[in-house]
Amino acid sequence: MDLISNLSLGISVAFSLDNLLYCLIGALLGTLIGVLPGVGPVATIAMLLPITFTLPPTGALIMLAGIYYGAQYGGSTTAILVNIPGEGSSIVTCLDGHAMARQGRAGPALAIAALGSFFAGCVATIIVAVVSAPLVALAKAFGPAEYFSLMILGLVLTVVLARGSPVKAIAMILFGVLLSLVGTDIHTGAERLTFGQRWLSGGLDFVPLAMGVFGLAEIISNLEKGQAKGQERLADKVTGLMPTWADIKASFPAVLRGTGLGSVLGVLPGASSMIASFASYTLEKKIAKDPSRFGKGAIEGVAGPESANNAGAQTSFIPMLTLGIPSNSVMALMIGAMMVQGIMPGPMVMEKQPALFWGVVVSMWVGNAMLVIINLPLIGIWVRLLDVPYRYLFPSILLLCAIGVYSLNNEPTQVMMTAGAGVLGYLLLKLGCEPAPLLLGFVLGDMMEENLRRAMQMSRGDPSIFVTSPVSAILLAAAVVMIVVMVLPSVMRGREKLVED
Amino acid sequence: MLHSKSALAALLLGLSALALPAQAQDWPKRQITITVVTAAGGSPDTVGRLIASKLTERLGKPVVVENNTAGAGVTGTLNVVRGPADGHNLVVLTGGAPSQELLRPDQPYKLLKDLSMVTTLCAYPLVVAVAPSSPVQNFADLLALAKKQPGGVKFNMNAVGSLHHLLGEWIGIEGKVDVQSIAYRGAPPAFMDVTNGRLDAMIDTTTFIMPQVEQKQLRPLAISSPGPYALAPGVPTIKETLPAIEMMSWLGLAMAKDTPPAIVEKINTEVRAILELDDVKQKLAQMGNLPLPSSPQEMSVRIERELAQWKRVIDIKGIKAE
Repeated sequence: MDLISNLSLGISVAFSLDNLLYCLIGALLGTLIGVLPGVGPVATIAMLLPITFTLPPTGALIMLAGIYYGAQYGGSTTAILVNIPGEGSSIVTCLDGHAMARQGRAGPALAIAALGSFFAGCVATIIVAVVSAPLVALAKAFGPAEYFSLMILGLVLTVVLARGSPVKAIAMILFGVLLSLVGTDIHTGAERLTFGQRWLSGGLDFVPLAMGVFGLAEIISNLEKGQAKGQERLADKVTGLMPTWADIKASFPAVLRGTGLGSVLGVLPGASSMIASFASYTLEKKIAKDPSRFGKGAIEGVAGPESANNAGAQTSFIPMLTLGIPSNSVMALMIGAMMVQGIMPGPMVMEKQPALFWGVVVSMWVGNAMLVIINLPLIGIWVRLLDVPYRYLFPSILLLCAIGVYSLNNEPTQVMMTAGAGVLGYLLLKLGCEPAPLLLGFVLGDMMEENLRRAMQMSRGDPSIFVTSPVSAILLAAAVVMIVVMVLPSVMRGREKLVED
Repeated sequence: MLHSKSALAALLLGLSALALPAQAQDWPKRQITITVVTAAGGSPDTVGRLIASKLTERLGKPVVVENNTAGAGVTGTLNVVRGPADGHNLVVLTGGAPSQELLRPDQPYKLLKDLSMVTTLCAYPLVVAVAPSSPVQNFADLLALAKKQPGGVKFNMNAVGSLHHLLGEWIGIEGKVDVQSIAYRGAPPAFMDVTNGRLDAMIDTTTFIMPQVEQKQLRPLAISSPGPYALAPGVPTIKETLPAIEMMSWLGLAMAKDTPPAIVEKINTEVRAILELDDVKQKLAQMGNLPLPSSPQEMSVRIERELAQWKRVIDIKGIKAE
């Protein structure tokens, strides 16, 4: 009964005219940046953070969430039609989706991608609604020791699931943790890592760092790559959208599996929706009667991953909304957005801001419905966007970023920091280091330290508090198991396969 | 002689009376900026914006709030200290300013030496509260628990030298008990730890505590105000148990030291009038604040008194920002 009253509260919030508008803006923006290669949801959300400050908190979160799952839809459009993955999560969609398009079946591929995503989005929204309340109840019993262990597990999972070298992922996390320690320590009031610079004593700000490392770095590397030319355009060949009965029959089980897999992976820290789509593709290929069809236009290869990435995008909100712990860099940005609004992320959000919590949850369903409408009939328009030359796009993006960061605090040093973070992000890209673990380390770092020290203060310096609390002990044991599993050679190979497949 | 002296004094007074409006007449010349050194959305920001919007109506020039949290608030304050003393730059000081000055010997300005106070705006007390299930029934019980329990009672604090911290330690001094201040970033995580029994009691504003009290999730023990507080009806004062303790956190406006007194007076008059407005009082009450209009002199005296009061707590407890 509680669930129903909560959902009806959510419906009343999400269906208010303002919030429908924010949701639509988010979904449109998301589709737009999903279609445009080289502008991802992380960069976009990072760049929009200062603007959200002027919006009401609920509207801001609804819009940012719309950008995130909207990008999952938009990305598949270009993947299928132009063979350019607009998003990391639609890389696998290129394989079979584009093959289908070449066979003149772009319409059914697009329809299945959109409908599969919609189905996954609906299911995942229900999962978010059902799972959140018990999780919040559990989280309330959490003390500093339990939180610390949970964050350790989260960071370990980030390493396990990160792309590329685990050593680099660990290095990035530690670097992020280190950056988070800059500034005045709340336990002792000591200034750390500030090198006597007053502008550092408040610590490094999240927005300039995120905007630089993700946004600016992406712009720099796009400029370096230059504009992709001579892409084959199949947009004009989209004729019938309707999939055949055989298509639907083949896709439906794949959609179900993708939704399930995506929902689980989305909750895990560090597992991006990209991992979800890769995992789903691998699964579909493995259980198919004739795996050789994959890569040549198998509709399951579109249906599964597209459902999985969208389900993952939705369920990744669960740990963020209930525990205040981000499971990926987009969620880290969401936490940043909440803090800018003066909302302390954590289990209190559901209780103190029920309208915000349930409004955002319901808006995800609304947004998904909007996206089906935005995407299917308007596909031609979206694809034409690829004709806008990047040299016109990036100066305006840069300018908006600079204004945004400055307006946050009226501090020129923040703009300099953003620029510095941009250079850092570019260097990291060149070194093959993922910026996502860096950002997660940054967000979790000082929370972890605070909880560690708080736990130690409460136990009067006795570290056994971390293992005598059963919850904390289980979480730490899980972290250890994950590390062991990761270093096992067979798993290493499997992971490489999963990530590189 | 006496006669001529007072004549001279009268003449001087008369001259200055003529001169005062002359100085203030062409003020404000342009936009007035109120610097808020905490993040937007917090109570100094909200109160600052409230005052700014009312001042804009009354002065006919835009009055805007600028947030500058850099350098833990030092940068923004320093900009006002060093800025032109022409009455166009104000800063919102908080009740935390005196203790911060004591704990930061390297702070590049001194409140009373480098700023001229305009008026305090509003004030609010802190409340000590426990979980509803706690065996502690009143403030005296809490002190008794602190005597009995090894290590004393555990309170939350915001940061070293924050008013939460200093009040907790002061209670320890006056009650002759041990307290342990555990740092939390903001009230919600501290609230969770007091409800699940990890903290013995929590110290926070009425704005945070009283809604929890209404929902029966916290039980108030005592309030730090000098007398009963209108926004926390029925809550006894700490003073009733420990007579030495009374404290209110406050917000106030200050300007550069050499600002012409006529301008300071003018803003003081305007702001005091604003604090009398019903809608302003109502908005302040929503934030747990009561208006606290004062003369510039009264505000300086308050800061001086708090500097002495906190210096004692800091010295006895050996608190320092290391």
